[in-house]
Amino acid sequence: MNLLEARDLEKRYGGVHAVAGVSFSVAAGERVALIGPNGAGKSTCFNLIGGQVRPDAGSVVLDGKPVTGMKPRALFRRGVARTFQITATFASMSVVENVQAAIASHLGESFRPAGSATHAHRDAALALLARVGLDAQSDRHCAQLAYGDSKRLELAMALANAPRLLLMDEPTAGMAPGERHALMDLVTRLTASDGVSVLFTEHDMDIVFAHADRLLVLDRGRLIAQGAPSAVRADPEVQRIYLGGHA
Amino acid sequence: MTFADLAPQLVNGLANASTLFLLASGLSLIFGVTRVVNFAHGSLYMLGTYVGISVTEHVSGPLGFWGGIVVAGLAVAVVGVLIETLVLKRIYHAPELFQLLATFAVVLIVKDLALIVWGAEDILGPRAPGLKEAVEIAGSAIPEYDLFLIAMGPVVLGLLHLLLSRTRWGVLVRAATEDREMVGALGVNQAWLFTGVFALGSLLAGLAGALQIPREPASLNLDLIAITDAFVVVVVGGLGSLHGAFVAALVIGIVKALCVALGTVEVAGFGIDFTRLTLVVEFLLMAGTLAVRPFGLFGRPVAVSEPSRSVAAVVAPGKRFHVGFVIGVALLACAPFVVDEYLLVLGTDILVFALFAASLHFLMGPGGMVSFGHAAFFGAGAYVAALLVRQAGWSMLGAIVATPFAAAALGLAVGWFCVRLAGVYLAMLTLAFAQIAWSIAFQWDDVTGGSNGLVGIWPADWASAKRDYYWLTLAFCAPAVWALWHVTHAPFGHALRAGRDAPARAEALGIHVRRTRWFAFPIAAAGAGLAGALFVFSKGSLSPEVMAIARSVDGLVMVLLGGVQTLTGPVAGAALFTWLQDETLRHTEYWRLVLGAVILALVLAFPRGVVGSLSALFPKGGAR
Repeated sequence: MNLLEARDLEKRYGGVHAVAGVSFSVAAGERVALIGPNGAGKSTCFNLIGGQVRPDAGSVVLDGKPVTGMKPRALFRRGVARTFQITATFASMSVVENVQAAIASHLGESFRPAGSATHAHRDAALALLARVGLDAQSDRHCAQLAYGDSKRLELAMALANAPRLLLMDEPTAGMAPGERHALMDLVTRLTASDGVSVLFTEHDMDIVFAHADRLLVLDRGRLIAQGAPSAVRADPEVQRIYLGGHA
Repeated sequence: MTFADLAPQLVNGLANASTLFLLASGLSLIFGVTRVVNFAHGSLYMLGTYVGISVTEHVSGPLGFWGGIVVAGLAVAVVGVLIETLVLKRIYHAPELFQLLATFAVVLIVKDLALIVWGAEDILGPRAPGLKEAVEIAGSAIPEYDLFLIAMGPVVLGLLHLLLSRTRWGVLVRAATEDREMVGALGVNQAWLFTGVFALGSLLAGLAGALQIPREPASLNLDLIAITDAFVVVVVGGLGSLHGAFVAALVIGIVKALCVALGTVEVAGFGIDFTRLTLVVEFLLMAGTLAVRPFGLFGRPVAVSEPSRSVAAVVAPGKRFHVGFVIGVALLACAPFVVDEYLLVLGTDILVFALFAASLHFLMGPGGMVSFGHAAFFGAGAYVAALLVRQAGWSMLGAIVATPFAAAALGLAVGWFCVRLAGVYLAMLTLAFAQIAWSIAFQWDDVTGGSNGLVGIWPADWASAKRDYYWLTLAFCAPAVWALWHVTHAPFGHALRAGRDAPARAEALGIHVRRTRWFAFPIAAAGAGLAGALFVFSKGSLSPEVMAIARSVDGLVMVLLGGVQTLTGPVAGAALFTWLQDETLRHTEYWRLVLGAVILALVLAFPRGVVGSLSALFPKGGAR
């Protein structure tokens, strides 16, 4: 059974039909990339799945249950995690405290007024940091992290609820080419062992072809092709968009 | 009620609306371009009134009056430019809260300078030459000057509109209001733009003050009254919107007039006195508007930025911190053996305000929510404690213990509304609630004693010695402050900070950001309420002043003085503020001037707050 199903999603912004009837699915353990030229509707589509934006029409089904329009925090409870294009971490906390806050939220302790947040779940947080290779920097102030390391930290936080579906919006944006593959290798390693599905948007075609099992190609709010990387690469419509422009 | 009854009040209300619009449009322009919430705008208005009256006293006749208004406007514009170039220009890049603190300092300084120059007595102004008569319209006598003012509002709106839409300068002002960085990138000299806008905004404030001369006396209270009125108009209209300010001023002017005209009306067997509502109706309007339209009538979400977004590292208190805290409290407990009674009373005040400031900091620091009305919880605590003892016959101790719960309930109610908003709008809603609370205390004579307040609320016999009450205060304040710090570093405090640092990320991690912010209110309110209860028994009496705007401002100054990014900062700020106030009061009646100057010096020298700056100098030092 598919873990995620999007059915006929639509979203308008004024006169712009940002997402115009998009349907697709993601199987358990599958890594799916959402690609397309600028303005294709990738980000909107992504935010419809992640709960940041409510669709005008259509539905999102997670593991057989409707989750359309559900808030991100509710999706988190159902095993959906996400990272953001512009890295967002809790800047006033240390690296490990960022992860501890995520774990505390996962365990429903965000409203606990007593006990030290600095001590609670520290070992679990350190273990997650070790998985992304940040354990040596656990007590640094997170604003001091290098950009690539911030991305790793976000990944560790996203894994705090042992997600079934990981949503990554432009995971390698702003990184050096070498770092990009390292980060995606890490994602693959971390998710494959637990059978986590990954849905990500990406600009870098090298990354997409190397790290996705399947591609979804969006153009002007519509899904124009999908399939294995090699098949999509050979698709004349896709070639026209990427190589020939819109002429 | 006939039209003849209503007309004079309506005209009065519309005339008020005009000066209100002048005042508010200046504030709105300044905020739009510089993003500075200029608390000193009301002081500029007050100066306009004083200068205008002074000119008419020296030059008689129409020249004195109309010339006085022009001179007042220009003089205040000069003062505004001085404030901008000498103070604000140096701190445009400091956190917004620091700019706020600097403008508070200017309020204090201007108030005392006015006291020195014009004295404490209210000064009545002359009537307008040539417009002293009343004309009869539909059977009512309408003052000519009111009609003149009513015409002024649209005229000024029209002139401002032309200035902003037809001149290059005006286009730049609008562009800067929309996107400041863009204008900077276009190579515009921002420094001149900012100074120019400050001059224009100050001119409008000065004119508004001077135009009110025939209608209200110059008094030293005008500054805070004017700034709150102006804030209400700007927030109801929408920050940065001139047309919004105009509409809001009209609505508020008319509704106030209606309240006076309605008088006491029987509704379902109850006599409701609408004239009493005039004190609070604008705040009810503001609360209502913000509940429906969180960015005001004509405002847009883009204009709001969070006032507090600290990215400085916050280090959890370690063992050394706790040991230091215990030693500190132990030392404080020994104080009565060393110091005299006078210092013990001061020490009691310091403890009370340390708790007050720490509770406000809980909202502002971890919560990232600036409150302009924290005195509401302090005052509510004071009244609840006093009434429990006086009316319900509770023991002092019982009342002190119960008060935080009552304050927390109030915080839960107020917070529910406030967390729907952000930034300056949230701050203004807290101010609205504080003013509503104040006016209840001020007007509910039977229970609160009205403006006279309540007297004879002394401690129980066993705590009546100054020394004993000091210990009692310490016994409550120290654990309460410690508890606030503990919550800050508990999972709840971290969730709160997570929501402040990166709201979207926090939500995606399952944190209910709005609810964490909501629950921060009762916690902060409980602390402030407890401080209020301890305060009332130490003074033996209380009046509505206990929850006036000035007290909320005091709290903000304490927090900002110490530094919002540290736990100990607000406590140090409270001690410094309370001690400075007491010390200067003993030597000079112009304590505000001294305090304002000290704050200004500190802001310019330590733009991160006293404790924040010290810990930056000594990164491994004790302050956290």
